[in-house]
Amino acid sequence: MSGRGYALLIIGFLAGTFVAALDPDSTNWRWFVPAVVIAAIGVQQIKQAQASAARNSTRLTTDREDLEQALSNIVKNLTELRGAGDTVPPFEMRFEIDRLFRGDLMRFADARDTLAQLYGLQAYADIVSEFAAGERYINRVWSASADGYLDEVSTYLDKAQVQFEHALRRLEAVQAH
Amino acid sequence: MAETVSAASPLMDDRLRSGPYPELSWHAVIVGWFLGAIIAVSIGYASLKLGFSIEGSELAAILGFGILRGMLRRRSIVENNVAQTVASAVNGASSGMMFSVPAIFILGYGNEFNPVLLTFGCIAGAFLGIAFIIPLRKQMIDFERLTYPGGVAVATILKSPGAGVRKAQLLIGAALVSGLVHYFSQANGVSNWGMGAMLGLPEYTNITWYLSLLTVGVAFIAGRGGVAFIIGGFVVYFLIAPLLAATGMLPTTEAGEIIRDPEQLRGLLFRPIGIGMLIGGAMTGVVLALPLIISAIRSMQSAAKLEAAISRDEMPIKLLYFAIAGAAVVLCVIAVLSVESVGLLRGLAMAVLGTLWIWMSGIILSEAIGRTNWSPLSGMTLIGITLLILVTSGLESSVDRIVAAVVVGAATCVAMSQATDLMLDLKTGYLVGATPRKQQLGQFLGAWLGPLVVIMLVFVLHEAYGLGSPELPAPQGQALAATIEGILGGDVPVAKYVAGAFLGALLSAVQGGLGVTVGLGFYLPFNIVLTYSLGTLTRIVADRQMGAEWSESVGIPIAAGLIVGEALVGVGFAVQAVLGS
Repeated sequence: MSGRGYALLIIGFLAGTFVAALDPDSTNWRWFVPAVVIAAIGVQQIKQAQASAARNSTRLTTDREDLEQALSNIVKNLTELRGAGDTVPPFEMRFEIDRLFRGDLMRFADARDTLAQLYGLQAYADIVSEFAAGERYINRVWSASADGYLDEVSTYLDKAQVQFEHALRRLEAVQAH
Repeated sequence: MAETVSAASPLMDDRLRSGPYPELSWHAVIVGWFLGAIIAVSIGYASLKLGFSIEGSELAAILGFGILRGMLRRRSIVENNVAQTVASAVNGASSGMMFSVPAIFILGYGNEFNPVLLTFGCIAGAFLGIAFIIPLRKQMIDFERLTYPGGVAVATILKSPGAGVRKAQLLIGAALVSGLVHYFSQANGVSNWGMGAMLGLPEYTNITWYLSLLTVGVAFIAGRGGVAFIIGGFVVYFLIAPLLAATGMLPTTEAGEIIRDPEQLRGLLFRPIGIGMLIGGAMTGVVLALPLIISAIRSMQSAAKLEAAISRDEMPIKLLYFAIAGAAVVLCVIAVLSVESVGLLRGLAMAVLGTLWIWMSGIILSEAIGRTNWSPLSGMTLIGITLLILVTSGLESSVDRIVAAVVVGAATCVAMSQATDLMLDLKTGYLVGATPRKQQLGQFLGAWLGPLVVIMLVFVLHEAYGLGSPELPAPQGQALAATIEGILGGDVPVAKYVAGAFLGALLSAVQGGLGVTVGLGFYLPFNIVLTYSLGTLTRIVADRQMGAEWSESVGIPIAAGLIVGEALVGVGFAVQAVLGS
């Protein structure tokens, strides 16, 4: 279904482009409109296929697990990093961030679209907002660590933890419904 | 003020500091103003001489780094980010105004407009552009996670001192290579390599490589996001142009000769379709993303009610409404006062249209630059001025029509330029952990200065050489002047815009941003697209063979270096042009 949709879209789009490019001063609408209609049918078929793929339970389950695991790992690693206190020198904190968080941050980001399909746009907006703020705070810890600002490192580690915990709680709440 | 932790502290390291981390400081703002003014003059002059402008963020980041860290001994990546935000906000006026204002002089109406009014119009436009784009930060950066390759490159520069010696070496090494290549290509006048001509291929297939490692670096950072852009270019020159030739449908000149020159074909056929696709694609994208944008605003409002930390990072939404309303009123006053015959109602219509167009084009440009790093600013200005000339069609004097449209059009052009610049800087800010509110304030603090600097530059240069003269050809201004004359003669490719809009809308309906990115491939010269495809291919192969982690930790510093080296040499040529004249 999706393959046929894409084929129709490509044919319609290319035909429409060709017709639109035929004359510098005008467009032959009699040929252009059918081409656009073919492309539009293709779009509609692709959308239908996308909707059914979105309901594909295997992918959704994998993504859901990825989202939860990534957030849990981030929260756990943040707790440990904050608890490590003086054992991690402030200048080294940035290397710890790269080591401990980058993979999970990327994993969550890659799976985030599933949130909208599973729980709706508002849940997506709320959870991703919290996540993005947390990621920005982690990035700030990295910068403050490179510059050697002690207080900033610990303040923003705390703030990042709060944001990611909020994100995790929101995720658990929508999953519970 | 931060204090150095004494040697008696448990950590025993005198490089450590306690106290607040400097961010939006006077140091950052003053350094930003200073650098922004210098960059705006250099790049503004270069664009009048060469016909294109250069993104100033990389240069601002490096020079700001030198001044804040090297001379003032300040150590804060986020403060550097604010200085670079302020500087590039000042410079935003140069690309915005150098495309539009010289057209008035070239058309011979340099004495018919009020420069003070134009300057205030551009300042109002700049504030409108910033205020409109701020609420979309969450959508484009937090939710869509658009790449903004230029923003990533600047973040890589800002983070380089802390990223380890190896990354800094990669960045500097790549910058040297890229700078040398650009130096030799510019010094020898070899910007392009006509491979197609060498192979004896037809001219319209347009296989000419733009010799630019910056383009390769940008494409590498954009990664898969740039694939649709490449497809757009290849569809035009490898499919549509050969099909037109094969069916004998290539356009002809007035003398009846067949047009095979790819640049002429682009101007006549493909660019207008591309502009339409950008508009249709962006409008569809907005409609489809509207529920998410509303959800984002709701989420910001609920965070504000709870006094959450993230709500304190954002500008209060009421302040933005105030900025939008205030700037729109100023734009209305500017439109009414631009020429005597405009009148209140027409002035109001121009202001409303200008404001709507700023919003629409701000989204189009931010999407385009976010996915590919190329901004179709000239095309959007062209449409804006076309619409404004249509509103002034009741005026008897064509001089009044042109002056009123270009004065308001310049304001919209500056607004668009500010919107894209801010988005790039906000992406950098995200990656270094800056506070969006402080960056946005920095952008407002820089945006007013650019129009003042640039309008003075325009008048001084016009007095000295005459805009449009052989010494100062102002190619962008000439292109706009020619288009304005075409519009007044009824020569507007409306059908191509409309057809393109349908095609762009269909693509964006399948996937957000697709219409904009493919449209950009139609819009831009193919030599850029070809070179860009090398960077994209390299990224795809690198991700597969070496892994995504390698691309992040090795590939991106190299790509950022490629961007920085060429940009710096480009600015060096601009400075040489300023000093040599």
